[in-house]
Amino acid sequence: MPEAAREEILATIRGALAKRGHTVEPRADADRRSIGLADLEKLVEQIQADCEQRRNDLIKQFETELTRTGGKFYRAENAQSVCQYVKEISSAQGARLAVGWDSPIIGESELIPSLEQSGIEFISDTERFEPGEFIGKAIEADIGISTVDYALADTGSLVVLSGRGRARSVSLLPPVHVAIVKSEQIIPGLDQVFPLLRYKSRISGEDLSSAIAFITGPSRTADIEMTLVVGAHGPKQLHVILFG
Amino acid sequence: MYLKTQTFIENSDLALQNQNLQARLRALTTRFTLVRNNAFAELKDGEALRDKARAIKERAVANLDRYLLQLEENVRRRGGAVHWARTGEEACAIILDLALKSGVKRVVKSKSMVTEEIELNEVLERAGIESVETDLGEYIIQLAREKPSHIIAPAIHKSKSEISDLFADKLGAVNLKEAEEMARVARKQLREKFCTADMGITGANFAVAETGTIALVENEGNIRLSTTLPRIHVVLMGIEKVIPSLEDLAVFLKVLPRSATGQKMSSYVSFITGARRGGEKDGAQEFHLIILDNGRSRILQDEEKRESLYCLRCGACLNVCPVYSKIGGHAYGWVYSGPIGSIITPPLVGLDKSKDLPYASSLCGACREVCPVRINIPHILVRLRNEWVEGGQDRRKGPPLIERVAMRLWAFAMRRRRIYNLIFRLPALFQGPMLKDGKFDRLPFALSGWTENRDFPPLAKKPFRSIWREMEKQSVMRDA
Repeated sequence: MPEAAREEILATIRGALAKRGHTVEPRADADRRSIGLADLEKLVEQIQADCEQRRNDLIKQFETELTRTGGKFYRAENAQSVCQYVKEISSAQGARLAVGWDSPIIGESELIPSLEQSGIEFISDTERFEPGEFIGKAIEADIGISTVDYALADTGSLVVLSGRGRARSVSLLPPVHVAIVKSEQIIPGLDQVFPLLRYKSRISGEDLSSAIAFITGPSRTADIEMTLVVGAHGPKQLHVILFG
Repeated sequence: MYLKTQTFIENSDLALQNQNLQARLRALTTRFTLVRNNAFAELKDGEALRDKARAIKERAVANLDRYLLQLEENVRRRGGAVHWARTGEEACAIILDLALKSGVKRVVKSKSMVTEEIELNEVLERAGIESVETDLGEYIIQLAREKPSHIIAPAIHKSKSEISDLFADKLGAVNLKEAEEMARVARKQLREKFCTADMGITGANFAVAETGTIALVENEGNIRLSTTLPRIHVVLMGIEKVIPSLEDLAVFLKVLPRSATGQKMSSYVSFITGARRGGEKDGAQEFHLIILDNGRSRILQDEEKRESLYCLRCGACLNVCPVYSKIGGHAYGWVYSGPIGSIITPPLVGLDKSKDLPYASSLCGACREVCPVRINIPHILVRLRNEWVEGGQDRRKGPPLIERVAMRLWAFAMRRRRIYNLIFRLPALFQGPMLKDGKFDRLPFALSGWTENRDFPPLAKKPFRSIWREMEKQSVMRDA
């Protein structure tokens, strides 16, 4: 029975398109999986070279755009600064519980001992916790701390890929999201991110992550009489710390 | 099936008399149009982007079977299930069956026009499954048991005080005055639903054939929550949503948020490829994609109407339409309103039931000017009018005989100068007694419809061509 629906729909579509006067051919390179790795590598190299050259401009642009969307930007020279900023953000919330990604960058910033010192429990997305347990903590948490995969300068967006140790809930459930970004993760924008994602997938031999999110500022809505309210279902605050 | 297109004229009359609605529409349409224009002005290649967006859609639709098959292959490769539904009923049955088999008691839903189209909530509710709308605007209209009145802002016809009363009545949350307070109440209510729902149902803004990825655009975070917490994720998409590759998304993500809300980028864009993978603690464990026809292949068959399938559902055409901005979405009588609604509703529900919609336009072309994929809406409106007048496939439908005869006579007369002149000179001699304050406040007989809402100017004492002739004569005499 289900096969019948599929066949009928496809047959109707084919019949409808067969009548067309002129043809619009699919792009020769439409099946992008067939793009040569060499070409892709060259493109990625160009992107990376361009980013390195324009590093400071990209950072400035990212800060401007992030701020425009209601996010807060901090520049941290070292691990202590990162910890200091997070401490300030946490105490402004009266935070008691934080959840976070299991990330070497978070380790590098020495955040976990710092938070614990301030009396804030930090639950990391590791094997120690069953999924249900972890989500339960994320639901109660005051702050979610993650790193990012990329940051888009032209829109002030963060790009986060889900995966082991990188729970989606961390940047979604708690009312405050803190993201730690490395300056080499900042790229110009949409035109660069998709080739980079493609490249990453190609060389790792793994498919695209099951969930990628572009995060641009805190959540918002204007559904009630066009009045902008910042903080809808997602986080009400977004803090981005540029670490190095 | 919910359909009020047949009473479009009466619906519009009611809308025009509703002062609250008029105020809401004025605020909505002026604001959205302003921010949309600003957002496009900021782009240095906005026009080129719109051309690119259209070209991608053209290619995608022209090879629809190929890309749908590729999409299916890739969703399956990533462990998802793909279902095909010819009609809305079939799609509802598939989703209901899935829900019942999996013991689903509670569903959280994101804003999705296609789920409104098939009236999914009613089907689920009848089977005892709670289906909660999570977009704030949709949540509001669900509480009010109403239909959406705008593609992007479904509850925009409601005033703050109406919403406040609604929350007091349905949620017991009294004395809410500010939008922020109401949003906070909704956040709390819905957070509980997200955390306990068994299934999340979304639409799809784009479905990428080469990777089997579904792209979803939002500002509130309810889509992310609906696709992260429940154990099953169901995506319902119309056949026209498929696009070839990842890079195509870059083009659409530049034009869609700008066209819809004047934003450079919406707060969240989610790219979902299948269910969660090993080691992930959240995300759905089961992924289902339902590909729906429901009359879209009919639109595909007509080469002139085909481009209406390129629609991104941004709502920009609604915001600039002089008709929509006076009557609002409910008057159109179905899920899709405004200019896009006027061109897709007739093929989907039948022109005989929605014949007034193609006529609800002055053909000003403002919609075409703002459409990110450059759909020639006025052209299709005229095409639909032509279909109605010609009687379409069923020659018994169409305007009454007397109107068709009158139109023939009119065409006959208009092609002959002397008859034209006579038609307009004779009444000019006799119109005097019929004028009030120098205007026709009521034209006689069958013409009275023209003066229902405005006064008609009188015929000139001297036709322009006579004045012109005299002026020419005078200038010839002067030059002589």
